[in-house]
Amino acid sequence: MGHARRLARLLRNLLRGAEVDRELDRELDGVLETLTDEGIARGLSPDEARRAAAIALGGAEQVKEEVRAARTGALLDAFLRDLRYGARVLRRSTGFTAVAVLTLALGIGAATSIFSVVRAVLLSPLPYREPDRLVLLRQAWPQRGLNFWRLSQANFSAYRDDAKAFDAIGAYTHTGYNVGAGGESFRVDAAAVSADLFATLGVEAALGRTFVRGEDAPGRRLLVVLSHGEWQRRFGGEPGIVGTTLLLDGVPAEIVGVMPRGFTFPDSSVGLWTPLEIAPDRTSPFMLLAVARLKPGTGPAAAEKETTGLLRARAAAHAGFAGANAPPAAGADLHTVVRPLRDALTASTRTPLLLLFAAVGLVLLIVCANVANLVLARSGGRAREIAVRFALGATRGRIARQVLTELLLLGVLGGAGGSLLALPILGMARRLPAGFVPRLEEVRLDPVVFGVALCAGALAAIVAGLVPALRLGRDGAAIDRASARSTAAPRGRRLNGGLVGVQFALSLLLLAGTGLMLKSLDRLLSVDPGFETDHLVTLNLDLPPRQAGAYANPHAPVTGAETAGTERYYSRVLEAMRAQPGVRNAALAQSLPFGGDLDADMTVCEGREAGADGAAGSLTLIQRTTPGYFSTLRLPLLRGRDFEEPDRIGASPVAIVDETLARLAWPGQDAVGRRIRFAWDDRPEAWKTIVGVVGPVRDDRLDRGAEPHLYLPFLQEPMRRMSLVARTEIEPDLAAAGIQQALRTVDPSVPPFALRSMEATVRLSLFQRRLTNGLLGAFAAVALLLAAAGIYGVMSLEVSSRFKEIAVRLALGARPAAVVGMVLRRGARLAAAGMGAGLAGAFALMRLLSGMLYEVRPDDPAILLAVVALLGSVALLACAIPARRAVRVDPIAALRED
Amino acid sequence: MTKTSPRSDRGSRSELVRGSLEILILKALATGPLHGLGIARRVEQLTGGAFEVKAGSLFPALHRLEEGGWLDAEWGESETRRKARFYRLTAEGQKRLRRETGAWRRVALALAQALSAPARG
Repeated sequence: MGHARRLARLLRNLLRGAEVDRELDRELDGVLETLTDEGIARGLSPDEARRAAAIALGGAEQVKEEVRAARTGALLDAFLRDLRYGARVLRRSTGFTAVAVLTLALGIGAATSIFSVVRAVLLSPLPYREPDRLVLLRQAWPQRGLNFWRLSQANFSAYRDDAKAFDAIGAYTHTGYNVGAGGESFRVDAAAVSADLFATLGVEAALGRTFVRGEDAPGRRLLVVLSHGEWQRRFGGEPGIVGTTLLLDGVPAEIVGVMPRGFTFPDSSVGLWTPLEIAPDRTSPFMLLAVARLKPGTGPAAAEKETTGLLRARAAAHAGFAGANAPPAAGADLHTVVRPLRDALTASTRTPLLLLFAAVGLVLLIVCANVANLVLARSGGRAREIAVRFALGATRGRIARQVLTELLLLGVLGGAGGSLLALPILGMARRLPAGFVPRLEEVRLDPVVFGVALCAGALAAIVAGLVPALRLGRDGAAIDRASARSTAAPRGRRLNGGLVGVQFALSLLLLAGTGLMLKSLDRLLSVDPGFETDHLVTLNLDLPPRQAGAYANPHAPVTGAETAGTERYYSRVLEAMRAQPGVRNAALAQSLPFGGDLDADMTVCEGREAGADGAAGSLTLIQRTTPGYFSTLRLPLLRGRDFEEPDRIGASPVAIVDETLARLAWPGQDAVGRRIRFAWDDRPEAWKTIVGVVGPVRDDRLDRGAEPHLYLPFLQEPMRRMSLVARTEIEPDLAAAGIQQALRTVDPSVPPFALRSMEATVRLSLFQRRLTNGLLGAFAAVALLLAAAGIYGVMSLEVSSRFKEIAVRLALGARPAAVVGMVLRRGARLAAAGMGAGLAGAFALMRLLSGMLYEVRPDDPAILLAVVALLGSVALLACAIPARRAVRVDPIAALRED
Repeated sequence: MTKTSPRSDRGSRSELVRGSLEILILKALATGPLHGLGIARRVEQLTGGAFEVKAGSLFPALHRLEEGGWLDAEWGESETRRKARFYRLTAEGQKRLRRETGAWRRVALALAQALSAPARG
């Protein structure tokens, strides 16, 4: 038969199934009547004739069922009928449906949200051409404590010119510009990129062009490429913008292009790109990262081997290539690190995200166990209905299919609910502060994730309901037994108990992990940073270089003609702060505590010139500060003095160290009067005399130990970019606006940026951890709730199925307390078995958390005890309600029931 | 010979049965339109009572044949003046009857030959 005809049949059967059924009814009625007529004609009575006719036809309902099965689209039709029937069943038992759908929606909503984030952040390809071939290249020198070491221009040039593993390679570094002139200027985060970077990524400009080779040579005029967002925000999306000029730090820069919408590099905070000057002979500073495109067929490991070889060969041959004043000895462990770009950009979020993913997986499993329990509990009540359908001639497969359809419907409803739940959660996720979770702007509820949620819902329900459904279908005897109310089906109860055990085991895992993480955060919050963080306003200032186009190393002090101007500007800033109402005192530092951009360099302490590997020096955090920095922060001065006005250029160089450095360099001795210098500067006049020792600080990250700090006087090494720290008498947020206004008056072309209170900065530095903990806490709460609901349900079922037994016991004189004890003991056994398994799992699995824990052991006994106590009391509470019901059983009523 | 029963297993045997029932229905209708009960009786008559056609297999088969386009059906009146659906062969149905009759003959011949061959020691 032709396809068209077949399709027409299918449509007719589906759309007009009722009519087709009526025709069949009429036809069978006709047959029945004819047979009856014939019987009467043979001399039977009308009643006898009708009976004989019905027997001869062999059950009209069965015939109809067989005909339906023979029809085109019979399977689909049966499915639709099952669906309608299922919907009716679910509508009838509102309570069960509501609880099951809500439970599923909760689990699936959480899982979908986290999966959407994991997919967008960790799994989806970066929005560049053939992103799988892109790698991030950096360097490391573990002997020197340099585990994350950037590249110098000389390093980069060597890899660019000589490495065979790459098709293309580009370098970049974060920077920022004061854009515009006079009162109009504003701060824009930017990235300085080598000319080949855009080509390496394989992305073209949407308007105009990107940079071309040679535009990163020293001394070229300044160019700029805008991001789509910046173009929209600042220039109203004006298409004629290409070719016009923008003032960056007061220097005219031609806008050569605008990048397409959605293009971000290296992160979404960057609003514009400028050419990064690359001079192959410049061996410092080490402030670049490189992105390279691997040749097809070349892996990161091979590239790492080749570039490491290059690095070692060059470092051995040329002084300064590896940063020290002398070539490193043979056998130095300096090497390059080549990682897939996506992994490198998202490394900081990988572990927390995977942790959340695992947690949400546990929640989903608990949800499955809960739904299975619900279905199982209900199957007792439904046994009669199903037994009736059996008796009416339904086959086992037919009933199993019906139950599965019902579960599928339940799952799809749960999945849809979960997606509805996930949408607002993802909306909130996208509004998180930028920069804490990379690629967060790419997170959305995409169709794939939606589909996965629906499938997960259906699958969860089916897996959850499969065991009970199969038992119903397989074993007619079980139904007979279950339909007799007073005799409980023991197998069902065992399964219920097992599921509750699983719930308790999984909940314990989740609660233990959450407890450990919360305790870590608590420990972190009680870490003393070494100074008082309250009532501090901080902000950044960046004084543009006077000379247009000059190469400006943001990490090096200004020299020559520029020093006077820099000093003058910053002394006016401090003057303005002294006059500012509400400000107690203020000072300047090279970088903000917890700002994530502390300067680090190799230093040599007098008497300890030789380092571990023969190369001199050890890694030290560097802060250039003005007098009064320590008193503003209330960072205690332990010995000696603070910097003073006379510590200027020309006077003998001085330094202050913190206790951590003093202890490392001169254990048990007074550091004041000793000398220290940078490793790269071995001139005799480079030694700086230590005039003071201050307390240890943790101003990088709270979860790192106190690291050695070297403080140098701003007045001897002035910097363009400085951070202002002001201790206020009033709330820092109230003082902030006035401070900003005062600074605008000092010089309108230098806009203050990153203005916030120190406490907010500390909070932000723990933001990712807090977010992870918050989500974990929510998941753990859901798990606890579901475990409680699970054991409550099972014990209720148990009590109601044993009403008769309990009634007999009570009638025979059992004390109510004994009955309560019996119920509670049974509940406690279930919970204890589950928790035992959970504890074993916790000892095995919590070690995986070690990397995220702070001063908490993964088997912290206090946490595990607390979790066991919490789960145990929840279990007892949940059992107490059915236990109370048990002793209220009216013996007479219960015994009469059957 | 095989009896068709409505609750037969869904195995290879029922396929054979289904196939033979369908061709018998087509044969029964070759001499003119009949209603369902008439078809059942005609088949019994044609097979000398060896085939007892039950409603549980007859009506699904009629349905399949109708949907396949080998039969047409319309409402009419039976001999006892009851409403009944009368089935008749379509051109397609006649073609199929001829084709399958030939095929059955060949199979029957081959089987008879094979089964009557002397057994070898």
